[in-house]
Amino acid sequence: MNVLSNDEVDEIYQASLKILEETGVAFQQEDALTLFHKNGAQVDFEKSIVKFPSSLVEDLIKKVPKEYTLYHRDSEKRIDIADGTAHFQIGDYAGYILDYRTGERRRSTLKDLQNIIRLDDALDSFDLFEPPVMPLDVPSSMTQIKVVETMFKNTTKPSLMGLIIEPKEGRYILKMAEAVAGGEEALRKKPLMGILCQPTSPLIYAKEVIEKMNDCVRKGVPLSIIAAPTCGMTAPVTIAGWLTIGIAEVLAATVYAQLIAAKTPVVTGLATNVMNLRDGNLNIASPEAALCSAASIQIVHHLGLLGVAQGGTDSKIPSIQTGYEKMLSILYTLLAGAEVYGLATLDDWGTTAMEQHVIDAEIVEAIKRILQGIDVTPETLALDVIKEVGVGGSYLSHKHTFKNFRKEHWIPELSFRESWETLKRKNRKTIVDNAESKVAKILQDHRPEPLDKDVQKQLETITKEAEKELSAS
Amino acid sequence: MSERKVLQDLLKSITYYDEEAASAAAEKAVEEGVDSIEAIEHGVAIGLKKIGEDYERGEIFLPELMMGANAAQKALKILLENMPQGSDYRGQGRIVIGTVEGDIHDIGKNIVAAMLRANGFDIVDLGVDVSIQRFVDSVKKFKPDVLGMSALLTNTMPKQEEVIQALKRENVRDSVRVILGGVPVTEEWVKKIGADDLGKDAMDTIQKLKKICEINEI
Repeated sequence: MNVLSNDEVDEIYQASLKILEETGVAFQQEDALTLFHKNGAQVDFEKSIVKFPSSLVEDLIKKVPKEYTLYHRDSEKRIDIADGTAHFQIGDYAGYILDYRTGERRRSTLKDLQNIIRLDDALDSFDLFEPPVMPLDVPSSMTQIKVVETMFKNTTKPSLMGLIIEPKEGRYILKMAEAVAGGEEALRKKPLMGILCQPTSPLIYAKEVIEKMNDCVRKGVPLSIIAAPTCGMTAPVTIAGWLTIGIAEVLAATVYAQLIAAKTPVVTGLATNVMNLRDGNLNIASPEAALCSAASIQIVHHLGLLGVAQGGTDSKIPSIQTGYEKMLSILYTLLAGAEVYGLATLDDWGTTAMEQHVIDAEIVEAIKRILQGIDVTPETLALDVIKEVGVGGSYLSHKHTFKNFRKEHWIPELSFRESWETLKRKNRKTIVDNAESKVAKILQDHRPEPLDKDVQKQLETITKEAEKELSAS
Repeated sequence: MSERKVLQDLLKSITYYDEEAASAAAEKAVEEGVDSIEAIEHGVAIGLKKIGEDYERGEIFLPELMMGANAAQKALKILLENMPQGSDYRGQGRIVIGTVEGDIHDIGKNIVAAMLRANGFDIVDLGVDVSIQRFVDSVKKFKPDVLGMSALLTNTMPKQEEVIQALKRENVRDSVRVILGGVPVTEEWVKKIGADDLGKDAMDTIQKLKKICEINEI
């Protein structure tokens, strides 16, 4: 599905190049500026602003690999990030968790983190891992390291973004990844994580982000370059302008990654968010965000890049609003063909609820079914069967139905499709009641694939080293 | 031109969100010899009150509120420059506001400032990356009812504490209420560093400031 015409795609791309060439982007790190300067960019060292000749951008984005592979931590299962296939992940890195039953909203803890990672590990809808909550009961210098340690212990799924915030903790996280992969070379050959690189909109890459990119690229870790300019606040209020500045920001870092090491794998995209015009709150779900998100995928695909998008809901609790906003944002963007989609559960990345994780898994299943499309073959056209059943017959007991119903129809686990009578008999009111039971069952039964004991010990040693250094600073 | 018409023009320039008209109306007021306090209280302040109420009712939105506050700023600047010697305009209360040293985030602070202006407060906005000394000097110079400090990064939050220490050292801490703002700032932090309150968002800040300034008037 195309949101923009080919001419519009080109117009927006050309406008992004113009931003890069005329306004430029700040790279607040000396070595990065020197590297750009050496490669023919116009650099204002005093203001840290790089102005990119269009030819530099066009040459370097051609070097970006058209596909790459991430591996589960046991390195058996692989996930090919390649043209057209959608992969999903869920996670808000939220500071709050909502107890749906009591309505209580409280700060998230390490225990919540462990539980939700275990929950997501059991949900097959999610191919990739993303941190669900922050463990706020551990010292702030250790939050990120604890997230990664807990991740490796509780899920085999690889992570594509969101794992490293500061370079100083990043170095320990890379060490952990090496320990799990089986050494530096093994991590390079079979990466089990990608790293999020995000500008400070409008048009700034901060020192920490650049240093983090340097460290990761040199270890062969793929990058997820995602700009999140806020429409109406850190980007123009018009969708085209918002899209254009976002694409410019993404291209600037993509070019930089290729300058540090050509052929560095990247996925690119926008985390579309809009300033709430009533109170300045940041919102991620709206028709405008969906339009911008889908259009950004169309543009990065036009440039031969892999596309990533994110979305969710502004609603604070699992509700009707949650459902409609999710389907609107996710489905629309997926129809444009994103390779990776990150779901936020509730409250614009601010709050999560376990029930919503399992509901979202179901939403993703429904979307995956739509993406499969309609199979048209002699078997599915069923002309012989139609002839056989004839006028006024029934298909229910026919072999063709028995053979094909599971292949053709997605059967939801949580959504209610039964009659009023069944509903009454089961004493259930909404999908959330079903979700609650599913969460309880998974938490009780699901044991993630255990991490090798030796590796576990290595992780604990690295965590202790980090504790020593980071809590001292 | 009658004084009434001048005041009407001032009011309208704000409710029409028109910066140029606001400057022109303020200049006209000065030219016609309208008392500046009169022009502020019966022109600018009423315009601001109107857009503040429209905003709270959800009839207008942030971009309109900001533009209206900008227009009022233009008029106020001209009127205050032409105040009779010795008079002092403090509106509903005077607030010195700024983002601490090392931090250049100003979106939240700007929204708060615009909404406070729309609610009739006299705002001295120090901008971003404000040094400790500048905060202290501004408290001495402007004698505000409240000092508002914003920090959006966990590593710039400690500057809020340093400013409070400096206010104590220079014996002006008791002359002003200190309100903190910014995403990472919590109630615990407010208590820990000896500030007075936390502005959780713009509306929360306004409600708290209204209370503080009412108390100050009594």
